[in-house]
Amino acid sequence: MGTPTFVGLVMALAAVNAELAEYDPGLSLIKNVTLFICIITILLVGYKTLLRHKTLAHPTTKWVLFIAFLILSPLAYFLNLGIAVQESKPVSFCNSCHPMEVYVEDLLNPDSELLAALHYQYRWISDHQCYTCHSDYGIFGSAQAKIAGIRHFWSYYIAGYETPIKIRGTYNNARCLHCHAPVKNYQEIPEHESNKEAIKASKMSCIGAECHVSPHPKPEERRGAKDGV
Amino acid sequence: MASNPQRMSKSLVAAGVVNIIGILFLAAAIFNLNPVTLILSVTIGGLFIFLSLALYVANVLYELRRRGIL
Repeated sequence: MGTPTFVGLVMALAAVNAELAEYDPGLSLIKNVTLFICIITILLVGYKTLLRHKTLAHPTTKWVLFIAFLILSPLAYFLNLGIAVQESKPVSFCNSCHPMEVYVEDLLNPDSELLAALHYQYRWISDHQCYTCHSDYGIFGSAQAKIAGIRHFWSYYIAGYETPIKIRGTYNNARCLHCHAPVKNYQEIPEHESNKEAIKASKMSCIGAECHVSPHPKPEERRGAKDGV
Repeated sequence: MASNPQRMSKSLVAAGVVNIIGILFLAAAIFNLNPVTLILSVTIGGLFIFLSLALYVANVLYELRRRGIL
């Protein structure tokens, strides 16, 4: 590797780190450690199997390969998996795909009075706003959200998707109730009490009728309506 | 026909190459995380790393059997 390439790599990493450290210093450290493990593994495996493959029977080589294959590689994979899970939560990640742009645009619109925009702009949800409202709570919620993410990837890049895009199945009210149900203001609304079971079972939506405004722009109100997103 | 040590050497080199490719997929996701690099690192990267691990373990087992230890 030439010096300019190495310097370029270091500078790219420094830029990524600076951005990430501001957001989450712990994650930045794990990312550095993972990258270090990746580099060490490539160097050890590359050196011992490609450059010095005639010494494969040497005990030192056997130990080096044992550590690289059985310890460092799986460790790098699982650390990267953890980083990937954590870093796929921010709104900016959701906005990576074109169909989400109109939703995020509304989220950032200071004039928007839709539910998602209000939650975002008043920071009623401090961060990961898309993820918080579109994943169930608990460990299985995170796992389901990741499976949904793989399905979205498949639809977006390979299988295609129908427009306007719609939420899959019924929205789980437990996501709203997790924060709102314990709040006194919520409990004092008679409709919340009289429809308690229906709301809890997601048989009655929080959105529409005389209740709450839509969380996102309706298909015909979206800027990209012509594009069918 | 290649002798046993030569065959072992070739499959270890193959394991090394596959491992390096897998690790490069991980590194790509660390440098620039987007839906494509994320999915590639978790699926293809993981598959390559698992494959290299399997090749390495197969080599070790083969060597142990050849020496009569297993």
